[in-house]
Amino acid sequence: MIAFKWLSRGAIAPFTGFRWPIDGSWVSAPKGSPAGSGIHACRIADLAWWIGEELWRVDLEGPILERETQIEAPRARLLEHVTAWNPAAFVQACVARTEAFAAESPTAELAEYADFIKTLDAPTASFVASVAAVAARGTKQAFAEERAWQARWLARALDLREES
Amino acid sequence: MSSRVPDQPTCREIVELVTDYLEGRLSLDARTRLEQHLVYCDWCRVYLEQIRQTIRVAGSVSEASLSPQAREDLVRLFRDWKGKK
Repeated sequence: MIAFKWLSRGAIAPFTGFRWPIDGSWVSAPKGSPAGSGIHACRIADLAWWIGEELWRVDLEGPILERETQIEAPRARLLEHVTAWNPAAFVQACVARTEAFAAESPTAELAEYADFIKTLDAPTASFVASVAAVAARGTKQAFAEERAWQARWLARALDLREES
Repeated sequence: MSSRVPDQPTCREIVELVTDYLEGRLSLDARTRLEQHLVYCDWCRVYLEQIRQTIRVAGSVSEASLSPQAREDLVRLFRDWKGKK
């Protein structure tokens, strides 16, 4: 299955510090690892929850576990660095969304978010725009809906497609 | 701001969960939410790294590797702490 993986600069896993081989070699989770200790990756819909410095297209092998905001496999390899990823353009999209929320519901809180978001990096802008969506729409569900909007923006901007 | 966010831990909750996270004792759900928080929170990422380094350094210090002065200072600090309890 083809999916996506966010990594830190240099193809480094952000939480474990593991340096992924960029020559296409397979990486396996240790045998007998408990549930949740496999290799995590994103479907397109998951992308906004895990934004990092580098985005990679990955090949997953073995039984795939599907969870709410990520998928997990026992084996994976990096296929291609998505070099079109432009954090500044993404932040700009989040700024525009938050300004639209602030225009729609002119409250002091939303005005503050619209101002603050301009100073942020991509992962934090994604979070603040989602919080602004909750403030504007008045439902907690708006948080996940905004992440979904951001994922669609990423798919469009980076020309990403789901592949089996 | 975090009161607006459904099912996401606050920084204070992350601080309480960090040791269990590093020791692999969190449930999958709690670990996922903690890592989602780390994606956007610089402060918690720095805090986690500080705890990781502390564990690494503390794990490499043996009694024999301490200088007499350091050993004496530690014993004094421990006695003071016990005296205050």
